[in-house]
Amino acid sequence: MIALTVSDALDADTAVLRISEILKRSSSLGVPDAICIRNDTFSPEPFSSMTELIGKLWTGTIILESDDPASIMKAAITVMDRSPVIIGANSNNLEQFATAASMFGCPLCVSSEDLEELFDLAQKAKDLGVSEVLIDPMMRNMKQCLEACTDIKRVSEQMPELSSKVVVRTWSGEYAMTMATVSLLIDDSVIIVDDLDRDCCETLSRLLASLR
Amino acid sequence: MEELFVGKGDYVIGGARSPAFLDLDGAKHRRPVIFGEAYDSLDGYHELAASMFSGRQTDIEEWAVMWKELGADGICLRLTGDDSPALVKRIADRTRIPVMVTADTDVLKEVASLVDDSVLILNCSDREQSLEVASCSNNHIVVAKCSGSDPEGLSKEMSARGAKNIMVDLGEGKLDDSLKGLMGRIEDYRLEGINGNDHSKHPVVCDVSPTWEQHRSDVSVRMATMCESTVALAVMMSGADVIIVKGPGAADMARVYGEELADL
Repeated sequence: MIALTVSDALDADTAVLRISEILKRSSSLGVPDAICIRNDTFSPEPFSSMTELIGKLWTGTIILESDDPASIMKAAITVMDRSPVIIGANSNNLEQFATAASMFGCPLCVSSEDLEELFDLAQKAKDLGVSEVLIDPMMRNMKQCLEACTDIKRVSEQMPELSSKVVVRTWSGEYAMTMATVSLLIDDSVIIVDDLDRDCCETLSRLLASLR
Repeated sequence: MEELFVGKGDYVIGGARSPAFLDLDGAKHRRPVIFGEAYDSLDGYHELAASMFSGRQTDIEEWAVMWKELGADGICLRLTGDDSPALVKRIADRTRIPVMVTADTDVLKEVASLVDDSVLILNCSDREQSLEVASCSNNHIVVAKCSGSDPEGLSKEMSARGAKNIMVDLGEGKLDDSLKGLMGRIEDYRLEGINGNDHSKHPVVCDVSPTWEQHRSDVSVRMATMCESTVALAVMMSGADVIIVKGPGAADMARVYGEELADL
C-alpha cells in the first residue's frame, strides 16, 4: 500500500484540488492506493472535517495520523464504516490509541525506534483488543530502512506470531521514492509519503508490477 | 566471495562476506562499481539518451572521458569497428579508469593480448563467446554470460579453459516481470558463495541499460533515469558488484545509493 498525505491545515478548495490530483494518479497508475490525513492543526475539528471530506471523495484506504487520541476518535467517527488505519500510538499513549482502534475495529500502527520495544508494543496492542497491528520502526534513511526491514522480516519468518506489516513513513520526492523502493524490495510494506509526483508514482507502480 | 582487481589495480570489485550492505551480518563497507556505456556507433542508440552527453557521444574517446568526468567508476565500451583493440588501449591509457569491452570474439581476443598494463573486463555477449574468450584472456576478467545456463557449470568450464578471473552475468536488469527472477538468482548466487561454495564465488555484473528499451518514444529523461536507477538499486540490494548503466543520471543516483547503503 502506498499512501500520499493530505494535511488537515489545507483549506477546502486546496484540499479538493489535492484530492483530485491524487485521484488522477491513482486511477491511471494504481499508485497511490491510500490517503493519509495528517493532523497538522493539532486540533480535532479540522482533522475531523478533512476526514469527512476525504471519506466522501476517496474510496481507497484511509489512514488517520495524529498524536492526539481525541482527534483520532472524532475523525474516525466520520469514516467508521471504512476501517481507517490509525497512526500515532507509541509507548506513552498506547492504551488510549488501542481503545480507539478496538472501538472502531481499525488497524493500529505502533511506533518506536527500538525494535524490541516495537514488538512489545505490538503485542500489548493485540492484548488490548486491537485486531490488526502495524509496526513503524521510524526509519529516517535508506540504510536504516534496509537494516530494520530486513531485521523485522527475519524475526517474522522465525516467529510468525510476531509478524506485522511494516509502515515506512517518509517525506517527499525522489528520496522518498527510494525509501519506498528499498522497503518494497525487502517485503510488502505500507508506505506513507508526504508527496510524490507523477513520475515517482509511475516508477513505483512499475516496480510493484515487476515484483508481484 | 572473490575479490578482483581491475584497471591499473587501484579498483577492487567483490569481496562480499554477507548479503548486500547488511551491517546486521557484518557487511564489508564497499559499494558496487558503476560503469557507463559508450558506443563507437550510434546506429540504433536511444536518441533521448544521446541528448544527455552534450554532443560528446559522437566520439567514443570523448564519451569515455565524459563518463570519467561524470564520476563513473568505469566505462563499458560497446564496439563494432575494426580498429577497436587500439581504441581500447587509447581509452584505457587516457582515462586510467577500469574499462569493460563488448565486441566480437576476435576483437576481444586481440584486445586481451594488446592491453597488458590494465586489467580489462571482457564482457561476453553469450555463453559460446565466454568459453572462447576464456582460453586466451591473459590476466583480464572474463564475464560468464549465463543467459539461463548454470553459472557454476559455465565458470568451471571457463576456468578449465584457462580463465583466471571471472565475473558472472545472471541476466539483464529491466523494470518488468523478469526483475524478481533476476534478483532471486543474484541473491542465491551470492548466498552460495558466502556459504563457501567455491564455484559461486565470482563477483556479479548486471547490465541495467536495457530499461531504456522499455519506454515509449515520448518518455522523459527523468522518467527513464528513475526507472534505470530503480533497477540499479534492486540489483545492488540483491548483490550485484558491477552495474552497467546507460544514463549519467542513473550512474550518479546508483553511486549515491551504493554509498549510502554501504555507509561510506
